[in-house]
Amino acid sequence: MKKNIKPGLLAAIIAMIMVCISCDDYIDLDNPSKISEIALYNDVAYTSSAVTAIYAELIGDNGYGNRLSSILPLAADDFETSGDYNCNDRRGISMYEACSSNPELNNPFKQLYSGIERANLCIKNIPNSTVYATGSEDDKAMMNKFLGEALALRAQFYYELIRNWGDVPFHDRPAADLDDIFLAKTDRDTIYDQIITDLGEASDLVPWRTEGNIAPTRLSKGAIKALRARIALARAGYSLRRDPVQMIQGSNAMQYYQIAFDECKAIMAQRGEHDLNPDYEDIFRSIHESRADNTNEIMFEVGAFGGNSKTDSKLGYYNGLRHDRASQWNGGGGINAIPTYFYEFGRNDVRRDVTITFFQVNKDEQEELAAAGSWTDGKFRKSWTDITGPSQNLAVNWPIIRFADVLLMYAEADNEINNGPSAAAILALEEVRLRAYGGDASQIGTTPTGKQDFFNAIVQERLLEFGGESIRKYDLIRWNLINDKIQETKQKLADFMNGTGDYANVPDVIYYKAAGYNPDLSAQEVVQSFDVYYSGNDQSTVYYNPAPDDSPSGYSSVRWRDGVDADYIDSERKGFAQYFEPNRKELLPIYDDILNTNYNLTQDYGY
Amino acid sequence: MRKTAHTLLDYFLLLLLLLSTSLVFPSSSKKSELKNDFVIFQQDKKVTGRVTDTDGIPLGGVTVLEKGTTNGVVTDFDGNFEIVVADERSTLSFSYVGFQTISEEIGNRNSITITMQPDTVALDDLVIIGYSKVSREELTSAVASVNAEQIKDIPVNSAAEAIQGRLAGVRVTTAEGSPGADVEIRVRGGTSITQDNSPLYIVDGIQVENALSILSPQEIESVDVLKDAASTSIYGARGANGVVLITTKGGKPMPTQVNYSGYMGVRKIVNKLAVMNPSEFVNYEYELYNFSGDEQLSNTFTDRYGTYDDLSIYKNIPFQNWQDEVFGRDAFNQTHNLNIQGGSAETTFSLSLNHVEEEGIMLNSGYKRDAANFKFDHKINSKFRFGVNARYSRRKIDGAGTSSTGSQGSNRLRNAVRYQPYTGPGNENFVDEFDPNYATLTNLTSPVLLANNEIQNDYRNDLILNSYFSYDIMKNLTFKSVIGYVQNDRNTNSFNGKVTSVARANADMPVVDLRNSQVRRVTNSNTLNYNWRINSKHRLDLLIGQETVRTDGESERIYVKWLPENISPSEAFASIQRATPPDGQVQDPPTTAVTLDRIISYFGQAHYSYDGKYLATLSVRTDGSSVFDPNYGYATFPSLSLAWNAKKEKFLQDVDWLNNLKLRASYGTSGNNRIEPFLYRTFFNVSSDNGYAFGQSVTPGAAPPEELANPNVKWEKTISKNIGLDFSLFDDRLYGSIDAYITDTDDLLLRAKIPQTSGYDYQYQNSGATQNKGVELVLGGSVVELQDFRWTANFNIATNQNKIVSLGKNTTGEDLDFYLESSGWVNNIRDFKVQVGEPIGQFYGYVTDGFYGIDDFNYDDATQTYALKDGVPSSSAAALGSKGVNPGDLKLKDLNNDGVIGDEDMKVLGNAQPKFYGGLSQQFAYKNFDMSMFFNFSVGNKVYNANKIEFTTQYLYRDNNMLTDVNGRWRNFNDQGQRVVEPTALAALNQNATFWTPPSGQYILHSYAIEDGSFLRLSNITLGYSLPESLLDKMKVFSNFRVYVTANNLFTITGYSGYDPEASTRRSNPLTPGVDYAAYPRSRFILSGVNITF
Repeated sequence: MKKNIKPGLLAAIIAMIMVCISCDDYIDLDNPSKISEIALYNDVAYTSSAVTAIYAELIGDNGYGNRLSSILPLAADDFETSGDYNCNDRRGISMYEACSSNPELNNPFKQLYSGIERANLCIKNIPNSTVYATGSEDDKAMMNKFLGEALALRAQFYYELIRNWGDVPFHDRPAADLDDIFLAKTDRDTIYDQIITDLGEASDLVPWRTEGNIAPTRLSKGAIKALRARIALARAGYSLRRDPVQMIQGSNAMQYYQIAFDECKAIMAQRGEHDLNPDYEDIFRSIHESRADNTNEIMFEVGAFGGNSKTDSKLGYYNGLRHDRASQWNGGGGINAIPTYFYEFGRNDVRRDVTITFFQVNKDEQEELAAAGSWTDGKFRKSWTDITGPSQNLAVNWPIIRFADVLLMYAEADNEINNGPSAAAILALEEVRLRAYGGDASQIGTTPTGKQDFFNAIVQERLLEFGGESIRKYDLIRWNLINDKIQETKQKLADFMNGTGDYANVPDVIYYKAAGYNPDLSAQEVVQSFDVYYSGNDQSTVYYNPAPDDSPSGYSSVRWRDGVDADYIDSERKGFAQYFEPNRKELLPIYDDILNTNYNLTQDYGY
Repeated sequence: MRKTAHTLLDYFLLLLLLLSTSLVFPSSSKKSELKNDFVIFQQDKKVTGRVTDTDGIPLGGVTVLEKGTTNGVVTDFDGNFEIVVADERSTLSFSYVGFQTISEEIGNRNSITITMQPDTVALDDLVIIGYSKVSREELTSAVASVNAEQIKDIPVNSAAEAIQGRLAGVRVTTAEGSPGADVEIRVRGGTSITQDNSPLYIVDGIQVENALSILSPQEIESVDVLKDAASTSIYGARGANGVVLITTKGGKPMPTQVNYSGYMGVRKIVNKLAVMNPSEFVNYEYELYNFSGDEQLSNTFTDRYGTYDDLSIYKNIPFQNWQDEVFGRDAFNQTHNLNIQGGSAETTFSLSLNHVEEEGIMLNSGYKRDAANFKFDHKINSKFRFGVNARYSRRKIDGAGTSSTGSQGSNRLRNAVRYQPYTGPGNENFVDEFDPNYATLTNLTSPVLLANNEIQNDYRNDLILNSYFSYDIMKNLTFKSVIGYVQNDRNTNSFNGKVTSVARANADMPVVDLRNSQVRRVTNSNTLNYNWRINSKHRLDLLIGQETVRTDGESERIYVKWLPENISPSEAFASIQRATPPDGQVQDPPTTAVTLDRIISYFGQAHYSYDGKYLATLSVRTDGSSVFDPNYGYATFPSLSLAWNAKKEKFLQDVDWLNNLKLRASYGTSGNNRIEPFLYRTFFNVSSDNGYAFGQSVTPGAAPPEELANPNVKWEKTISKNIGLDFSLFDDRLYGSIDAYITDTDDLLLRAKIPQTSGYDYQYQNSGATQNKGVELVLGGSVVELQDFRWTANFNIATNQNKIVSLGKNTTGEDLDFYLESSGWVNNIRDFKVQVGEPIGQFYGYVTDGFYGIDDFNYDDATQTYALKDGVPSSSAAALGSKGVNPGDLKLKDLNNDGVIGDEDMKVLGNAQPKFYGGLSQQFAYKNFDMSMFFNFSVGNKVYNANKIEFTTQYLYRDNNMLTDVNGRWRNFNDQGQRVVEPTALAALNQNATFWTPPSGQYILHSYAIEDGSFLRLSNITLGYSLPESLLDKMKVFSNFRVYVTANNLFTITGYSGYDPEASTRRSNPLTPGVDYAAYPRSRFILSGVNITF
């Protein structure tokens, strides 16, 4: 008996002691499910994942998948949000009276900062990594590209913050390295200067599209230069300041026009990388088909895929052409065109029918004309994707910047620098107009040569070119034209409703028969295929001639001019930009909870 | 280095196991030796006899020894023995574990009957205090106990329910009425602000999470709850929130006994929320649709409900209360327990089998459990003891329930309350057929359809293996080693059919969510115990020990979308590969994760007793935990407790009516390591959630977590002070104890909200401090003690005052005074105020001020509009969605008198902490009848009835039914359906109005929803009858036969208007208790059962 026990006990006691010896290690663990910061950036593949995670903050419902693209940038003289006013939802933003408790304001703001933090981690760690210091040339080139992408993405996040909220807290180091994370607002000009410098550095680090075989969903040198030009113009332009609370132009504007000019010029010298797409519709078809457009006119678009609210978009489901729920497509309708926007286009401008869908697809999958006020943004059409049924995520990408924008920014900067357009600037503007008329120079009219007139031409051209791409509101703000244009649009809407002035010949109703809808037809062909009742031999005149006195039999009528009533222009629930106030509503309020967690952060601008 | 350590540990465990098995074999040889002894010694006088306990039950396995010799025998299973002794002067000694040893001189008797007295100290009054046991008399700290005797009459399916209200200072609350609902146990209020406040559960010496939910009451021998840090500090880092020590039933040295107990019964919903009937509903909708004057909207109403003149039809439409459809069933329950136990002096065993089938009152909900528990104890020789305990249970919890941790949109009770209260006309098949338009318009889905479309099966398998051996190295020095292995497997299969919101976001196709996880925990503790009787007065008990707890776990999740539209849940679970993504869509990849946790500890305890009069216990424990940065990973937790047994003083010895008087005082520290691991460094997660689509696929991305890393994260530390008094009077007819305590907790980890501009929402910081103060009183006694009638009662009451002492500092060095927290039932609501100097759980909102009357307005006759008079505050932005204010709208108090209702007008509206709570149990016995009643109560706690807010607010939705409160609303339409605007007429129309117009703004908290949650609940009443012994003796089949009927939750006296005042459905965040939102309604359970002992 005793023999059995003693050794056992001894062993137990010895084992007990041994366990103790190694106990420091016993509690020092690594979690195989997670990667530490050091390990991450010492590995090119992991660093690539870290950069991917920065890109990830562009998309999803709170990024350009929905809120940043389709909710915050509304409304302007092109489009507005559908539905009735509520200060706590998307419509409150579009009507320029969003409460600071409006949840639409919360997550996009936070997601942008999350993207900034992810970029900050890369920007700090990549140059310190061993791969960066001692890796192969290929590895170093990759790490450089990653660093450039991180710098450029951070710039885009800050730009998005500034244009919606003005001055915001700025940090260019990871939060863990900050002495004080309770950051107060930094003046936007300071942030702009930093990100413009960063973008300059980034464009040196990232190769051209063809050099790096870069998809449009990823940043290339051209895209970074274009973003730099765009941000430089924003820096040079007006914005709502904190003190005094007024629209004031950025200091040293000319310096920034020059940056924009130089960057655009550099891009325009590389037509092999990006060029104007002769087929305007192809640009928007391409984002529905996850491919580059024919000439890589879209220099950077935000990739969407995965069928979820984080990595996919709701473009084409939330907004775009309205397809009845019962049709195979089911979606669209969250954004409505301002009816007068239709009449800003020349009759033969191909962009009109791509940009505005003034019809809808009914439950029988027929096209039927829609009442004014219910027209939608036609650059997004669920029926252009392969996805049918009630899916909300259609993998439609969001275009951030196009070559057409580069041409028009070039023209604009040139005009400012030279106090009037140079020949090259005139050419750049005309290049965009020519494309809109299929290259028919006889239709584009005469381009003005005076500085102001040329500027006005650019203001108009950008309205026509970029409608529905969420550029307009911010353009108008940087030009300090937002109030003027809102008032002008209200007046135009009144004329439209009354059938006076420019709208004297616009029909009050249009008679049509529902007809089969074929999404494979081009946007223009679809419009031409409408079975509308018209006189004469040109179907397209129906939108420009008064309606017949008697209703033709067999046709349904749609409220055309009649679609706009007094409520549409001025009412508590529906009025266009009803609550806009100059020198206050150019910016959005910061969401309550974000203010509450930082005592150094102030609301400002009278909110 | 690390690898070596593991190998050594593994080796050690293996060694111990081998050792345990090797010990079994020598024991058999020992037995044969005994027999040989018996054969060898030839004696003269033969004596036969029988040994029983005080109840006359025969005791087998009693050692009968002739004094001064090695001659001895053991009684058989009938308690009989036969021994041959030297002569008449021989003395026999009878010894048996748990009984007092008896010596009897034989004299001239040939046969003797022995009745053994139970060794009370050994059984009833032993209290487990960590790694050792002491008698209650020697106890120096605050420990509350419940034993099997007290809960045996409580036919409930979880041990947690059985102990509810029975332990002073231990608050047991069930979040809602669903089968298998989470039970929250708080010892003295809970110390942490944001971290887990669950106590540590130790089952037979090893750590088992949520043990009281896993075990059935029938398996439990005793539950001891260590409440003050003097007793919990022996568990160091895990002891700050109390320690619940559970001993499961083991065998006894007695003839094998078979015991069956079982019961069957029916559950039924207790009360329902009163909702509008069809006619009331349609009239309300009429107002809603017509108020704005929008013609389109009015037409929609006519299309859907008919013209105003048609509305009288609805008076005759049968009222369909969906709560009846969904929760109305008689839910059947059956529970069976079979227990076989017995043993001899050397070996005892117990085997329990348990089977439960419980239906929930809600469709498709229920609970099933099968459990087997085997416990075996063996005494190899006088030095060696060894035991194993194996327990396996399989639970299945069905039903997605009504509440979810998500916000308003994902909670389900709404559908049963708000769905239109009739079927038809034209909508008859709403119940069976999903109406897509209705869903978008109303945010509702047919509740019956939904209950059949949201299927959840939650399987939980728990394996507990536990073995120990102890060895008496020398007299009074014992080595004990315990090894435990606990494995918790959980598989949750959820199915979201095509009408659910989840499916609606995924092409109207069903979605399956499969989650599997396994957690394995190996506990090993080794202790050396030395009981040193220095002399007759001084005694010193010393304990040193070492313990390791090693936890490893894995989890995986598979989320499959786009299953065929009409697939059944079981088919979907069985073949997820049937999913077909629409063109261009891909499935989410499966995800896996690993959890790891290690604790290594060293501890020691010294217990000193001077003549049983002056007692002192000193203990120290050092813990190292992998949760923290290794530099902060170790902490030491000392404690001291003292007691004075005053009754043993000379001056009290002659006081006859006083049987016991003991004064206790203690001071101790303990910690809380129940925090998320790896907070100290930035770690990256690679996940497709952080991914990006460079092309037609999502490239996963590596991103930091949502909390900013904090390298300085360390322990939460608790210091607790306790004084107590134990007393017993009048021959123990009345006994009790009173305890008062102050618990201060420091370095509390706050999941501090940090500026979101950092890129993170939160960071864990050791910056908080709380204090809990309280008094607990326990009184027990025998009220009546007659021959045929006995009445005993136990009463406990406790009060705990919780106070936040610090919420840390902001970076400018100022103390943070408060912050607002969101319960999250609505996105964007900030309805709790976490404030220094105040308790956790303060509801924060507006003060209801009725509704606006005509007098509050200036009426413009020309435009027929009302405008608020100057000075009348406008609640437009706060409650009405920024719409214009009209007579009848909800009015809120303007606390800062600035004319507008805004954030500054919110105040604390009450809190969820009760002033006091407790329980009263009474047991009556009259002849063969027995009866017990158990009440529990809570006084002074407020409940945040969020249901009431939701069900009386219009917000964005029409066609939603409302609570009957809304019937008293302000009216804008007269009986002819015409809008009344003119002030005098409007005033006349509303002279009896009692309620505001359901607000059109987002749901907000205002004081209307804060209700008194005090209650007195008769949670259990049982009436039983046992067959008389005389009859049992004749039948010779049973030794005990009892039948009983029980009603659980028979009635609750409360002023609360919701389903049940105990509901608390938003407590995944400890800061937001007491919110009754979408809780599963509680049921009444009436059952009858039988206890049989063979």
